[in-house]
Amino acid sequence: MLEFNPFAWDLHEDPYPTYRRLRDEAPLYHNDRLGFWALSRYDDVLAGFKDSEHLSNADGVSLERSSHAHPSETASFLAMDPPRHDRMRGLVVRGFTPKRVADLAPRVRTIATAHIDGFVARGRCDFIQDFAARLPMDVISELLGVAVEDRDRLRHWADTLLHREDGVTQVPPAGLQAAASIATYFRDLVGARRRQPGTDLTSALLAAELDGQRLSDREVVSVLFLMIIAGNETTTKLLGNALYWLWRNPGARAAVRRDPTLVPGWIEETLRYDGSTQMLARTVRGQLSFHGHTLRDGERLLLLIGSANRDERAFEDPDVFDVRRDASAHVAFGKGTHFCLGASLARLEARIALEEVQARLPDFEIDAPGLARVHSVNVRGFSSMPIEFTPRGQEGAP
Amino acid sequence: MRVVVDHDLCEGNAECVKIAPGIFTVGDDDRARLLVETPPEALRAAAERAVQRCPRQAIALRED
Repeated sequence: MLEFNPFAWDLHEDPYPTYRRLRDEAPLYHNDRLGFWALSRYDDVLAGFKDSEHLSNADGVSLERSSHAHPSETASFLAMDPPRHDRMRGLVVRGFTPKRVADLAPRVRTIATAHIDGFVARGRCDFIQDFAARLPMDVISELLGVAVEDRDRLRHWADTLLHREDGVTQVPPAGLQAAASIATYFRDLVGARRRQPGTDLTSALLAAELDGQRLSDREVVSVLFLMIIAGNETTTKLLGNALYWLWRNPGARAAVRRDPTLVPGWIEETLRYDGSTQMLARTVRGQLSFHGHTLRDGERLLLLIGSANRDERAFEDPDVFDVRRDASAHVAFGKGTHFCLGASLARLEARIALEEVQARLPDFEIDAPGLARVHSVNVRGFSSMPIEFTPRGQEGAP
Repeated sequence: MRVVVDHDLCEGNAECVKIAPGIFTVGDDDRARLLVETPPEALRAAAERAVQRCPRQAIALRED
């Protein structure tokens, strides 16, 4: 009997054999016990993303339904449907266009260099804790106006919010507590910027108008909340997964070392092969049919991104990690209405981070017994990744 | 074949420019602009690929 339980730690180790069985045996899967549907084939997942009329985000994108707060309190426009979604997203989008993001490149490189300087002479570090978790947090914090001394705290709360013990299907008390801490922190930040505006996105949102009205504190806090989770956790996991799979594939590693212009290909292939966002939930509005079954209003449907990107119907040799392939059809960032607003920023951060790692820690080796995974419903990646390398001098120091 | 870009949907990801630089460019407003509204048949494959790959589904082809 084929069971797919995204809350089970067993699955987190290697979900891909299960995804393959779902695609072959149950392309529209139903979990009777947990009460959800799941689509696993590329064409179906893509069709799901495109149909924002029948597949709503209004209940949030996680399989767990929070009984405590409406999903839009912590996920803003990601938990809204058009047209409200479009208006709210429109306020933020101008800050994240590829052109605007490209302007951040020098600053991102400075941050990456400084973090590598912090451990490069030691010859060892935890790639996640000392680098991959810090760089995206610094970048998004500078955009939002989060002070340097507050970032570790926020990161800890965000990690706690996403963590799930084996088999737990509800947001646990520690997660709710962490969410409350993040919300309180951002309410204070919003209050401070209302009194004294700065040049950050928080101040810009407070000055923005939607349908002739200023945004409420709650609305701004929910955007900040979305940014700190979506803009941070997923990029951290992307960096870790990229390093891990390059290390596991010596051929790819030799190719990237010879030709640094393959770094973007390395990133796109990581997004396809083992992306950080494995699945996103939707709620059926009206009726919708897949594979001869009709889904009914209010039912929950998972779009299995991680499976779609390994579908042999869409990608040749999908289980081969090939940094030279054209992986651009992957749906790691979704598609259509809710296409990842931070895709350009994530790609920029990943390119610069991995270029710097490649240049300065070229002989890194992962200490495999020290690897630890994040256990979360949607997000896939490592929480700890000890690496060793030949110690070198610092570069960014003045 | 006529190419149509929905500027309310377009967010300037510029995938279309990479795929079909003969048809698309990015304007000063960070949104896709058409270099040619009715591209020659020789560019049909590229135009169709741009429609498929647009992250925001902002591009359409019309046969009129």
